[in-house]
Amino acid sequence: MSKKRRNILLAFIIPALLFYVVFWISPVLMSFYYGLTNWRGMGDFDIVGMKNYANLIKQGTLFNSMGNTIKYTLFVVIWGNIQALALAMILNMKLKARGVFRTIFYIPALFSTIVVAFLWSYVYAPHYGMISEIFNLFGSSNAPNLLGSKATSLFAAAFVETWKTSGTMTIIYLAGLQNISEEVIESAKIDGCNGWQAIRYVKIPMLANTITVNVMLGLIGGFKSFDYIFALTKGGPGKSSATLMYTIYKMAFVEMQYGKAEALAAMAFVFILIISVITLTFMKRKELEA
Amino acid sequence: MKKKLLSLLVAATMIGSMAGTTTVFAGEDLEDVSEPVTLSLMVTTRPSTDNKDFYLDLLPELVHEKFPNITIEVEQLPTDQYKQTVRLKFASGEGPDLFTWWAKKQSEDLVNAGYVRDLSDFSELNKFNSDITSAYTFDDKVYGLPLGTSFLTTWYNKDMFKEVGYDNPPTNWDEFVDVCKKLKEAGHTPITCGDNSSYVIQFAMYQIGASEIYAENPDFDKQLYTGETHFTDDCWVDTVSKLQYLYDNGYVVDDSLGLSQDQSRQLFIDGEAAMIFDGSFGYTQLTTEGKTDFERGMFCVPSNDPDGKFVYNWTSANALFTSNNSDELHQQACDLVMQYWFDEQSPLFEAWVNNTTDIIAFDGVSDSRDMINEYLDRYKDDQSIDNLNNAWPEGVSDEMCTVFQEVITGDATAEDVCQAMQDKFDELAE
Repeated sequence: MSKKRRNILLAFIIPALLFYVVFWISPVLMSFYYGLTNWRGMGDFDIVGMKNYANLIKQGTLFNSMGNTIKYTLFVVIWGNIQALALAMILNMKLKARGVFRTIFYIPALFSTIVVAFLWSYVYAPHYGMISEIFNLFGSSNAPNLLGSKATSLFAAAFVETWKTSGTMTIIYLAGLQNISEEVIESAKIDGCNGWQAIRYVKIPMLANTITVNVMLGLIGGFKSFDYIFALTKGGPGKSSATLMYTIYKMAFVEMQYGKAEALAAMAFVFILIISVITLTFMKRKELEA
Repeated sequence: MKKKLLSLLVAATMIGSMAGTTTVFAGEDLEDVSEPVTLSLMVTTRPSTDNKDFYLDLLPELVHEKFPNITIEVEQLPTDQYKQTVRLKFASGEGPDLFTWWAKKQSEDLVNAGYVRDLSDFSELNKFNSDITSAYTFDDKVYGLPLGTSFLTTWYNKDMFKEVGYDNPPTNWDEFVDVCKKLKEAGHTPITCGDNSSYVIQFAMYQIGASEIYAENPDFDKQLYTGETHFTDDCWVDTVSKLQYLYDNGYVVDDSLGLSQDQSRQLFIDGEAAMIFDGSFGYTQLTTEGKTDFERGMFCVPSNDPDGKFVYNWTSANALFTSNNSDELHQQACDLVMQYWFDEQSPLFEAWVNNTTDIIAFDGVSDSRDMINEYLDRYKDDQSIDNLNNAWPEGVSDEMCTVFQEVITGDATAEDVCQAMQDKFDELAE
């Protein structure tokens, strides 16, 4: 390619690059700057150095919210994938009315987050919620208070996220399963594979690319976990379900500590970047091994 | 002579016309603005009903009917998002022309930043209750027109109270605890709380704190800023301990941390709990018929000793503010809207009075709800105190609720709550 032609092509990139720099790179860099200030969202502010970062570590906010985010993400990734893979395998069988079932299992993905959260707040509600009523049917009044317990509130919210995203993840797995030819499964069976062995040693390795996609989707959903926490637990009881994104929101928009929230956002950015790179590298290696 | 008379006539006409057009605050016959203008109005989201909403429907309609050149565009948002949006809009120079906001410390930053207009010259200002207006007064200048008042209160089931021997609400802490004990012994759930919506913890805490903290020292909050008082003082520890006592003794519904405020209200109106900590603002929802029919009443939690002083909550609900950054035409239009709104003869005033959920603090207007009037009449000789968080930086009340949730789960003490509040106060008031 001639130098002139290359320069012309590069010129076409400039508008997109400018857009990217102005609306993505600059805000990210500015957030690092504001993290060094005591900005309250209005009026003047001073540079306070690393004080915000020090306070976030000293007050335990960073480790609490980071820990909760990791737990939430692990649950979403592990349970979300197990659930979606199992559903996809069932829906890939030669069942009657298979199309109807596929449609039904996709329905949660069509609801908005707030509708799903509202609905689940009544599933979890003590005294007259759905879980409570099921326990009552069996003569027990000891239904677990899933949203009101420090041990379970985070996972109760994460479960709702996996319920909502199950349809999308299932479809991706279903597409992956349909790409595995029947001949491969047949030959595995001829070689003596039973049902489980066919899944474990043939189907799952051949789904490596699909698993990477769904794991990354789960990771993204987990790391930016905000909406179900906001709608179902408000980070509580106490701070037991306060994830990084929820804590940043609360710090900035409830306490009006924008500077401190920017500092936490900057740390969250670095943390998520590191985890994402490690996971992606690991998954790619696994894909090659498969 | 003719020329003199003509000059006088011209001069009189000029003065008359000036009085009628430029002094919009004093004019009886309000004239429309000279060209079409669109005003932005922001309000917090309120419960929707089948009727027309005052802010979303009636206000824009009636204003446009009176002033065809003025169009009002209304934006409503839930409280948290509302606070952040209004502040960010002002910070970016796009603040709403008219908006509602809260009192004292909560509006101080908007005033200090110069975002809101001084309304001290508003001609109808003296018709608002001066005690309430003072909540929006900074450096002797009034910045907000109070849209009403509200109070935190305990709604109770009169039938259940009568069943355990209480024909009247309790008047001191011992009686309050006694009624809780008797209700529990009679097989009722004494109190329901939607603690999953952590903000409701404030409803009980501020009622208890009213007598516990302010009976002895009405200036407690002012002294927080001078370091003379602290949240870790005995009065605050006792306040939190009293609320904790209700949970520790099983007087509050089981699993309250899993209940939202709406779900908790449902338990009350269904007759499954005898009391709920709420406010006058919950009137519509809490007077809705549930599974059982019963007579409702209201009282403020009396945390005082039998011979101690009782203080109750009564606070400014919110006020109408107008932007200082709007251009002259928008400000003129805002003036016209406010003049029309608070003119007792106008249909807009009538619509406001008939549709507001707040208790209007305006000369000659009384609330039509008997329960509200009976409540205020019962406590008229007692000292009242604003919602406690009106005097604190944003974030302190939230910290209080968050750590108190841990008290409910048994992972923190009353002292921990107070220490967390003090730490947050120190951080935010810096």
